[in-house]
Parts: sequence; structure tokens; C-alpha cells
Amino acid sequence: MPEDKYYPLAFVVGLPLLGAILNGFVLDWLGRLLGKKVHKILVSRVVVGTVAVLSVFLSFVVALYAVVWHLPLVKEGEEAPWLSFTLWNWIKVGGLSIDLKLFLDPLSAVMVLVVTGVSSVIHFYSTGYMAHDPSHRRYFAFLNLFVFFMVLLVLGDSLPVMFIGWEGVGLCSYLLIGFWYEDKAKAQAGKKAFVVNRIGDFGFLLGIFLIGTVTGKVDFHGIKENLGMLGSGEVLGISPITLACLLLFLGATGKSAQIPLYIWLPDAMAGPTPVSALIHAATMVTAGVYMIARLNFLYMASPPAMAVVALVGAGTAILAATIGFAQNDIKKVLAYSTISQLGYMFMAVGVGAFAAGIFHLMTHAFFKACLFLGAGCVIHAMHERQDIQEMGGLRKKLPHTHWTFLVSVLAISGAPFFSGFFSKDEILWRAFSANFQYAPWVPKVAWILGVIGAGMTAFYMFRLYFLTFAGKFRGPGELSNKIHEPSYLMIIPIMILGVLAVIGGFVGMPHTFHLFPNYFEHYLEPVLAQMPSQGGTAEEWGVMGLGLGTALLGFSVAWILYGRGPSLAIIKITGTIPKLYKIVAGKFFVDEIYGILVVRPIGWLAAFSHRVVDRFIIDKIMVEGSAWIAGVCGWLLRKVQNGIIHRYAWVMAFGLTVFIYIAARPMPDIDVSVGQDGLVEFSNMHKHAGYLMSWDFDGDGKFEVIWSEKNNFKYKYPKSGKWVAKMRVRSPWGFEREKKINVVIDTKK
Amino acid sequence: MLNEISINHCLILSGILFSIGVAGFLTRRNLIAVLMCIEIMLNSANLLLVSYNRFNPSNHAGQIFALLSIVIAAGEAAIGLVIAINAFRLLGTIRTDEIKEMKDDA
Amino acid sequence: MKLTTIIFYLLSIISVFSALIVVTARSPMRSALGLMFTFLGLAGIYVLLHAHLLAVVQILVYAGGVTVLFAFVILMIRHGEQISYSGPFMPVRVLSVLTVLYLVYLVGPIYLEVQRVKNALPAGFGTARALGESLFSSKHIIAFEAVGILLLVTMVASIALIGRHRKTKENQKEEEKLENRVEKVIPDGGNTDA
Repeated sequence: MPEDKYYPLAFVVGLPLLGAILNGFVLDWLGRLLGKKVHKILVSRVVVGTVAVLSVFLSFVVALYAVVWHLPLVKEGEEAPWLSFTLWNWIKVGGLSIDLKLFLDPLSAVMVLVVTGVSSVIHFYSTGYMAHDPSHRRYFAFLNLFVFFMVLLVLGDSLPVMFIGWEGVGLCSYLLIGFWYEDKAKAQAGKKAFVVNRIGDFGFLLGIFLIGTVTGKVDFHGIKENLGMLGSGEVLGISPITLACLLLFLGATGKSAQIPLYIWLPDAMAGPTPVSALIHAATMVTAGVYMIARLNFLYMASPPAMAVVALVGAGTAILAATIGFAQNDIKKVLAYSTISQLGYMFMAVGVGAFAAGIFHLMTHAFFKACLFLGAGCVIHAMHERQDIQEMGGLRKKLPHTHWTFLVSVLAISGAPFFSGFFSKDEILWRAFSANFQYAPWVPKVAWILGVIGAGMTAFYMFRLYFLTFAGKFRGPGELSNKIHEPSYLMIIPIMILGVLAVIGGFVGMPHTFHLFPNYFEHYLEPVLAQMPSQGGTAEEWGVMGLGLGTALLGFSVAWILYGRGPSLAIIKITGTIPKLYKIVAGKFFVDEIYGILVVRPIGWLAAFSHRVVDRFIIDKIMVEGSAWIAGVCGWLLRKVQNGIIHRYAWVMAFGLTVFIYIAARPMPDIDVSVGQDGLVEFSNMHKHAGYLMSWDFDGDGKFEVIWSEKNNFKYKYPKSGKWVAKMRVRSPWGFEREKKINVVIDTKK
Repeated sequence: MLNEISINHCLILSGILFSIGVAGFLTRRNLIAVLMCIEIMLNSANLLLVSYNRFNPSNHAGQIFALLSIVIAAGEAAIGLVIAINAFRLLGTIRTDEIKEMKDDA
Repeated sequence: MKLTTIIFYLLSIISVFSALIVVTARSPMRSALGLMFTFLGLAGIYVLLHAHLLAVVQILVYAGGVTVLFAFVILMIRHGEQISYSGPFMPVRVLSVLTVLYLVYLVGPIYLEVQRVKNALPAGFGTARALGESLFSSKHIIAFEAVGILLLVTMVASIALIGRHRKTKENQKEEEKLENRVEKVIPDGGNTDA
């Protein structure tokens, strides 16, 4: 079944790359080559946009073809089907061989379809959104490049290949967040994203190294085979498998914005809105979830790691939701909501519901992208204003936007039969019913937090909706007349996504409804392990009801407080708890805390390195110091040259004397070769004229040979052991020198 | 003709002359005197050459070499004296301990 | 004791003694004279060693030419020597003597090795004819010619280096400066012994 040369995979990966190259370089150069008129056409918005959208859309089509035609559905219990394509052998060191290999199995199929599909929609939207931006070519090049890396990440067959994609999407994220780099704040946001990501990547790399050294394999199939090797032994007091899982999870917290490394995501809203939609809602931030799902066998083998993942996910979900209560920037609210929903996904994989996590990933991509693109329409209409306190009443002015936005808000809040309902509910049910032997309280706690979080989600999302679309327009007067719907280029995509947000959930309907089978789960079954669940249908309905109830509660509170714009009630409430409000609105000052705890010490280290190490030690001591030493030596040597000829003559004579002395010394060089039966041959290789040698072979002090010129002797030693022979050399000048020779005889040889 | 005198005598004589030349070369402070000591040293070397040739008379190489050495030594003495004269004209002195023109003043 | 032996010892004593005069004489003129006697003694020894041509050349060139050359130059450079010359001071003298002895010691024990010598001489050894034949044969002709060229170069060089002492206005000032400098040097007393 596994074919290794499945070419369509190469196209899926290569098409976006081709788009990036074309937009980035080729169109420009080709245009310059062919003349000004052609150049103008080639770099026009139409051509650039078409190239970009087509490259991603075609990639989606090819992927679809590959999945539908060539990836068969399997029955329960069979091995997962997969297709692969090897580019070339990348690294071959010792016993480790890493190929650049792409492979497609049900899990990566889901991912790649979501990525390329949502990307195509957002690319199309971007042609409208960035219509007035002068750097549209750069934008689309980067966006295509991002898709290329993301697809590489998803289709990679081994951890290093995934890491290439991992790093690449981080890079593109930086490039796109700081897209309007002339604004320093925006550039800083990009830098922050990249740096925080890097910290996570450090953990990821360490995880790869650990797995590679212990099992000897870094490709997914190989790790699965050699899983047993990770179970034994201890590294730093923890079993290697848990350590590897935790390290990889650190990378995931960086990439997918969980505690403690989520701080970059809200700042990342400085980038263009389609970028926020694509990268920070639908695709890049989901890479962490995908990674854990891909390594489900690894995590299932390490219960402590799973507990950590679940708790961190649940905690992040709650924390981000609370921060979202008090944000006033439309994009920031959505950013925190993304962090919160990612927390749900991690919670899912943490309790062993990998399929549920991926399902939520998919539905989230739909409705979150729709929300962001809708927000983009709103911002566009509001002429680049983003403060929701200044909005209101946009329902009538932006009808299409309003409708899709409402639908997505309903989806994310878990309104029945919308996509978010099914996915979130699945997660909550699995958390409640997980049979987690290692620490049974963990899934329960996660579940409780999840339920509370669901209520909070409904609240702040509806707060956002009401403040933006309901009530009366609160913004500056002259703006009111200029608000209009954006062009079809931006409307069509949000409508597509809106539809998906509504119906996308039906593929994963839990079987308790007895309507459709859970296609989604069955499709992924061969690939993903599952935590056994306990509990029957009744409990499932109960949990579902509870989730629905909390969501309804959240909606109601939001409706009361914000139904027609900010009511007096909310103003009173925030008035009574000013301090608490400030903390929540200030994002719990996490950024500031990090600044003091982490950034400042690094600043000190940098200042120290610069002032002390670089300027003083290297420049002063090493560079100027060596020059000074050279100067001192020169000064000393200059003292010798005092110009007094007399003195020179004496020095010359002295030197001559030394030379003669050295020349006159005899050189006793002896070669000893031990033959058989204790017969040893001595020879003095330096035959100087007039040398006379005395030999004492047996070390008794009496010289056997006295002052002869012969320099080659054979002597037989009576018995084995260590002997010390002596030789005296005399030069014609009468100087004598002695040399001792150690002879070891081993007659047993 | 020489029976009792062996090469050793000549060698020792040569050695003594050479040593005297070296001693004078190192000690005298008159430049001309230094040059004279150099001549003594050259002559001792010539004596060495000739005496070796006397006792290994297969060819005349020693004497010929000594002849050429005399020529060269004479030429060298001439040049050295010219330099001494120039030094005197320029510096006003020919005492080696007063000529410090080669001092590195940097 | 053969006659040749006595003559040898006599000549060597003359040479050594004259060399000592060269080294220790106060006035350079005396050193020059000692030098001449060294050359003459050495010439005699060459005769004893069957190097006839060489002996004659030694007298002609060294005793006749080089010595005279030295004498001329000494006479030319009288001014620089009007200083009282106290000779090297005691440590230097001791050191010099020690140097000499040491060098003799270094050089001396060669006698250990060279015991194998021949006393038999081929006929015509060291005569001018034999030497001339050797010199102009293909063995040594190149060296001979080279030395001839060297001699030429030396002659030219010495004449070139001596320069011409022109009395121009600038030179006059320089000469006066020189004489002043000499005056200054003279009262020093020459106590800058090495």
C-alpha cells in the first residue's frame, strides 16, 4: 500500500512555494527583462493576486484529489493507509538517516485540506483587503511562503522535517506581523512573536534530540516502532518519554500560544487582518495541537505529560477568556478567544481525545477565520478604527458582514447544531468521561474549567457582537455616513466560511444523536489512539445539557449588559471594582511581569557582555594588550641596539662561543632493537668523526667496551627483566656525555 | 724536511694566533687596530690551510685557497680602511665607543 | 733537535709576540709595526711548510702592501688619536686573557684526531710552477678569475667610497663644524673605557 513516489504530494507542497517565488522574484525580474510595459502588467495587483490565490487553490485541489481518490477508508482495526513521497536523503550521520519525506495519512489529510482550503479563501479575501497597499507583492509572496511551510509541517514524515515547517511558519509569522515595518510598534510585535516562538523551539529541538538519541529514529513510524526504548532509564530524574513529551509541549506552547508563551499572540494583531485570520487563527497556531496528535502514541505512553497538557490547556482557556472580558480592540478580543479555544484543543489531546481535538481545530478554523475576516470588513468600513467602544449599530450598515459574524459567534459559543457545538461538546464529554488511571482528578478538573470557560466564551463573544453590531453607532459623527460594505472580493470569502461554520460540524456528530455516524472520528481512528472513556449515554446527554446551559447563561448575561450597547449596569459594575477591572484589562500584567523577570536580566547580561566582555576584555586587554606587549618587547630589544660597535663585537663573540660549545657537545643517540632470545642490538646512528664511545651493557658500572669507535654492538642478556645500559660518548674536544638506556627483555615472547 | 714538527704544532700556533686576534678585536677601541686584529685572524686561517695541505699533499688546494684568501683579505683591508677614513671625516673620531650613529633612538 | 725545528720555534715566537704587540700597543703605529713582523714570521713558516709561492706572495702583499696601507691611514687620522689612551681597564684585560685561553682550549684537542699524516712529499710540491699549473688548470681557474674580478671591484669601490674632498662653501662650514667637534672631543680625556 505505501507508495513512495506519490507525486501529487510534491505538488501540494511545491505549488505554494512556486507562488512565493514567482511573486517574490520571478515576476519582478521577468518584467524588468521584458520592458516597462510588461513589467507593469506583471507586477500589477491582478496578476500577483491571481498567482497567489491560484497557487494555493490548486494545491488544495491536488490535495483533495489525493485524499479522495487515493486514500482509502479503512475498516475498524486495520492499519492506517498512507502515501508518501521522498524528496531526497537529507542527513546521514552515523546510524541516523533522515529523509526529506512527505507523507499523507488520514490525520495529515484532514490538516492539509483545512490548511489549503482556508488559505485559498483567505488569499482571495486578501486581494480585496490589501487592494490599496503598495507592498502587495511582498505580502502575497510571504503569505504563499507561509502556506508552503505550513503544508511542509503537516505533511512531514519525521520530526526534523516538521521542524523545518515549524521554523518556517514562525519566520513567515514574523515577516507578516511586522509587515508594516515602518511603524516601530508593529515591527516590535513581529520581533516579540519570533523571539517567544524561539524559546518554544528550543524545547522542541531538545525533545527531538532526546528522542533521536534514545531511540535512534526521528521519523514518526520509526519512533512508534522503537517506543519501548524511551520507557526505560532516567534523564534528570524523569523518565525519558515524559521528558521528551514535555519538551515538545514547550515548543507547542510557544507556537500555539499557551501558558506561559502566549504573550505574542495579542501583539501579533498588529499585522494585516487576513494574516491574523490565517496564521493566528486557522493554521499556524494549530501546529502544536497537530504535533501532539501526530505523536499520540508517545503521549499516551506518558500519563504525567498528558496531565500537564490537559491542565495547561484548561488553564489557558480560562485565563484567556477572563482577559477577553475587558478588551476593547476587536482584534484583541478575537486573539484572546483564539488562545482560549486553543486551550480547549490542548485540553482535548491532554485527556486522550485526539480526534476531538483535531475536530475542534477544524471547526475553529472555520468560524475563527470567518470572525477575523469579518472583523477585517468592519475595520475596513470603519476606516481602520478598531475600538469596539466606538462601534455599534453596524448591523444595518454591513448586512453581509453582520450575518456571517453572528453565525460564527453562535458557532464559537456552542449554539446547538452549529459546528462549534459538536466539537466543543465532544471535548467536554471526553474530559468528563476519561478513564485516566494515573490521576483521575485531572480530567475532572479540566472538565470543570472547560465548562466554566464555555460560559465565559459565550459571554465575551456576545459582548463583542453586541458592542459592534447592535445598538446605536457610538463613533464620530462624520464617519457614520462613510460606512459601507466592502467589495465582493471580501464578502464572498466570509460567506463561504460562514456556511462552513454552520454545517462543518455535521461530519463529527457524536453517535449519541443516532443521526449520522461520527465520520470524523472513524476516519481518524486508525491513526489516533484514544483514551478509554467510561460513562453511558445518559451521562453524555447530561454533560451536553450542562455545557449548553452555561453557554446560555453567558449569552444572557451578555445580552443584559450589552444588548443595546453598553448599558448603565455594566458601567456601574466596572465602577465598583475599578482595581480588578484594571488588572483584567491590563491582561493581568503578564507582559510586564515577564519584562521584569526575564527581559531586564537579559538586558543586564547584554549590557555586561558589551561593556565588560566586548569593550574591556576583548578590545582593551586582548587587542590593545597584545599591541602593548609587542611594544614592550620592541622597547626591550631596542635597548640592545645602542650603537656601540664595541658592544656588538662582544655579543658576537659570545654568540660564537655558545655555538661552538653546542657544536662541541657529543650527541649520544642510541637505537635499541630487541631481537629474539634476549639478543639486543645497539647502534649509534650519529656517526660523528672522532667520537669515541664506551658501553656498559649490563648496568654493573663496569664498561665492557672502552673508547672504541665502533658504533654497532650486539649483546646477549642472560635473563629477562629490566636492564639499564649506559653509553658514554666523547667528542674530539674532550667533552663527554652519558646516556642511560632502558632495556626490557621478555623471554616469554 | 720537517720531521719533528708535526701538524699539531702548526695547529696550535694557528690557534694561538687566532685567539690573540679575537682578543684584540674585542678589546681595542681604535678602529684601525680592530682592523689589524682581523688581519691577524685571517692569517691564522691561512696558516691552517697551508699546514693541512703540507700534510695531505695530494693536491695543492690548500695553498691555492690560501693564495686567494690573501687577495681577498687585502681587498677587505682596503675597503675597511676607506670606511674608517670616511667615518673619521664624518664623525671626527675613530674610537668605537664613541661612534653611536647606529643607535636605535626611536 | 734539528735546525728546522729551532727555526720553526723561533719564527712562531716572533709571530706570537708581534701579535701580542698588535693587541696591546698604545699607539696604532706600534700596532702596525707588530703586524708587519707577524706577517714576516708567518711567511717564514710558509717556507718551512713548502709553500714557496705563498711565502713570497705573503711578503709582497701583506708585509709590503697591507702594512703600508695601514701605516698611511694611521698617519692620515692622527687627529683622532691625540687623546691619551689608557688602554682597557683591568676586568677587560682579564677577560681577554681568559677568552684567549678558552679558545685555545677549545681548539687545542684537535690533535687527538689528526694523527694520520704523511710526511712524504711529491716532488715539486709548493713550487711556483706546480702551484701555477694547479691554479690555471680547470680545477681552480674559475675561482682565480673570480677573485680577479673581485679585486677589480674592490679597487673601484675604494676609490668611489673615498669621495672627493671639495672645498665649497658648504663644505667649509662643515669642516669648521668638524674641527669644533674634534676640539670638543679632545678635552674629554677619553675616560669612556669599554
